[in-house]
Amino acid sequence: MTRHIFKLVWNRKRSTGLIFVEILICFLVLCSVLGAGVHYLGQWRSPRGFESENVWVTYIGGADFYRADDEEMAVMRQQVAALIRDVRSLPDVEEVGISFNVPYSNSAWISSTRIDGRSVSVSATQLTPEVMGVLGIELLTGRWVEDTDAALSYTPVVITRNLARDLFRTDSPLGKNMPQFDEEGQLQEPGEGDVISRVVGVTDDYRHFGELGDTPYVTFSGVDLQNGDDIPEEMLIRVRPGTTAAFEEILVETMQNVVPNWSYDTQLLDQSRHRHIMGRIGPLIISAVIAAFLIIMVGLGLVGVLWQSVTRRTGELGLRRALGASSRSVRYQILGELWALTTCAVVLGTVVMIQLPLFGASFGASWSVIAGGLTLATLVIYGFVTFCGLYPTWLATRVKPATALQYE
Amino acid sequence: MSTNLESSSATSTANAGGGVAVDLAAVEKIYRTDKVETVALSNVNLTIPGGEFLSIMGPSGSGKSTLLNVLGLLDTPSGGTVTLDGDLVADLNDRQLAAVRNREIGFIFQSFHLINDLDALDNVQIPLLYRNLPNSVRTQMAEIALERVGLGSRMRHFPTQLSGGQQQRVAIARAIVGTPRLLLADEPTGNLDSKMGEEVMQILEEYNRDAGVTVIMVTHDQRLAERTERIVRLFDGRQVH
Ligand SMILES: Nc1ncnc2c1ncn2[C@@H]1O[C@H](COP(=O)(O)OP(=O)(O)O)[C@@H](O)[C@H]1O
Ligand SMILES: [Mg+2]
Repeated sequence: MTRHIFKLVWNRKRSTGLIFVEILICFLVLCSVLGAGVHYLGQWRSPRGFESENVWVTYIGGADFYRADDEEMAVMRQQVAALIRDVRSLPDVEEVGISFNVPYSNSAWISSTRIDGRSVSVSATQLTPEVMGVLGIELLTGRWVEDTDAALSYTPVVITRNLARDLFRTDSPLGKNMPQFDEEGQLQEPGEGDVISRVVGVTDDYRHFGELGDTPYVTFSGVDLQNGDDIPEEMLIRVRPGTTAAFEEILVETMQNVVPNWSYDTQLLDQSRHRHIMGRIGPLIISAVIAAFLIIMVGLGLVGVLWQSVTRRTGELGLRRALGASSRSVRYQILGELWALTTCAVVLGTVVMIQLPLFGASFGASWSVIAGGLTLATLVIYGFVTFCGLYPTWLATRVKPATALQYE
Repeated sequence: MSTNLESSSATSTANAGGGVAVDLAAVEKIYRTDKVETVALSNVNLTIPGGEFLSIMGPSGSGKSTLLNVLGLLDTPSGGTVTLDGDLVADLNDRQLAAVRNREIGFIFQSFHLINDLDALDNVQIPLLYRNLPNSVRTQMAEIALERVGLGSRMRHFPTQLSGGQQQRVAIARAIVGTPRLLLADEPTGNLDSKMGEEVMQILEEYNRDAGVTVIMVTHDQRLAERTERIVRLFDGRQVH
C-alpha cells in the first residue's frame, strides 16, 4: 500500500507539488510567528533580576556632571553625598543608592567585550553598594561592590551570570581579570598604568531593559563618591511597604533643601515600568496582528488546496470503495499521503530554519526559541493538515460509492 | 456470506463455491432531490441462481444502472431486500460491505473508471491492495489477469495510451483479478465497436463458463443479450415480461 501511495503521489507531481509548497510556506510562517511568540513569552516570564515594588526613582536634572571642572566636581560630589544622606534619614526610607542603567530607562551606559571572536555589548553599571538592597539584586557567588573598592589597585567588578558563563565558560570567574582586546580584536595583556578590572562576584542576570527586553551582559562596579568623575544622575529609593504617594512631595522637598538649583524628576519604578511597557506593546500588538493575518492567509491557502485536492478525488475514492476499500481505509490512505507530504515539508522547513542562525539571520533568536517555534509549528501543521484533509475525505466517503463515482 | 468470506483464501484462483446466488425481493429505489422525486426502481423481484449468465435490457433511464449498483452494493435500495448467498445485505456494516465488494464482486463500469495516473498493472492491482497480500503476489495476479484479457504486452501503459477497447479490457482485468464469484457489467460493450464488443463478450462468456461465476450484464445489444441464459427487461424502473 505504501508503495502504491508513493507511486500515486509521484505520478501526480504537479498537484502534489502545489500541496507541498503550501504546507512548506505555512510551516515556515508558523515557525517564524510561533518562534517570535515563544521568544516574547520566554522574555515575559523569565525573571528580571530586580524588584520594582516600593522603589522610587529620581532623575537629578541640571547637575551637568560631564562639563564640570575639577573644582566644581568636588563640590557636586559632596552635594550628591549630602542628598543621599538626607534622603536616607527620612522615616519611610529603607535604602538609597545612585546608579547608572536603572531599570526601564531608555538610555544605558554600554561598553563592549568580545565573546567567541564577536564583539558584544556590556551594560557597564556603576552604582553605590546600597543599590543591591534597593533593587533586591541577588548575589550568587563572591562579593558585592563595596565603598572601599576605590582604594584598591584594581577595579573590582561584579558580573551577571550570563556574562560569567559566556566569558569564562565553566571556570570560576572569581579573581579573573576581565579580558582586554586591541583594536583588531586580539586578546591583549594589560600595559603599564592600565587599570585592570577583576571579577569579585557574580549576580543573577539583571534585565534592566525590563521584561520585554533582552537579557544584557552587565558589569557592576562602585561609584567613587570621593574622587570619581562618573556620577550617576539617578537615585533609587526603597521605601517601607505601605508608604503612600504623598512621599513624593516629602522626598522632593528634602532634596530641594539640600541642593535647591537642581531638579528632581520623581516617580515610582513601577510607573516607569508601566510607561515603558506601554511604549513597547503597541508595535508588538501590530506585529501580532500582521502575524495573525499572515497565518490566516497561508492557512486559508492550505485549506483551499487540500479541500480541492480531496474533493477532486471524490470519484477515485468512490472507485476504491467500489473495489473493496472501507471508508476507514480510504481515510487512512488520504491521511497517509498528506502526512508523508507534511513530513517532507517539515523536514525541509526545519533544515531551512536551523540554517538561519548559522548565517546570522536569526534576528537574535536563540536555539531554544527556534526549537520551540519548530516544535509548535510541527504540531500545528500536522493537526491542521489532518483536520483539513479529514473533513473533505469524510464528506467524500459519506456518500454511497455509486454517488461518488458520478463525480468523475 | 461471512462464512464464505473467511473460507475463500486470498490467493486462491479457483472458486470452490461457484457463483453467488442473488435474490431481490420488492426492491425500490427512489432518488430524492430538492424538487423532484425519481422512482428509478419499483418492485423488482429477481432470483438468480449461482453461475447464471443474465442480461438486463431496457431503454435509457429505465433503471438498469441503478439495479446493477444495488446488486454491486454500491448503493442501498429505498425498499425491499437484497440477499447474496442467503445473507441479507442490509445487515452488513461498512467494513463488511467493503469486504464483500472486494472478495465476492467484480464490477465493470460503462465508463471504465480507470485511474489515469496509474499504469494498467497498477490499476488492475487496486482491489488486491485491500487484501493482505505481498507486493510480488499482487503483481503476479495482476499480470495473469491482464494476460487473460489479452493485454500482456500493454501492462506498463497508462490509460491515456490505450484505446477504448483496451481500457475496457484493463477494467475487466481489474474486475476479475480478485476472482470474484459475481461479475457485474454495466454496458461493457457500449463504448466499443462491434469487433471489440465481441472480444469483451467472449471474455465474459469464458469467465462464466470456466469459473462458474454468476455474470449479470446490462446491454443494449439484442444479439449479445440473446447469447445469455436469461434476459430481464426494465421499463421505467419496472420489470416487463
Ligand atoms: N444520483 C441520482 N440522483 C437522481 N436521479 C438519478 C440518479 N441516478 C439515476 N437517476 C435517475 O434514475 C433513473 C434511472 O437511471 P439509471 O439507472 O442510470 O438508468 P439507465 O442505466 O437504465 O439508463 C433515471 O431517471 C435517472 O435520471
Ligand atoms: Mg446506465
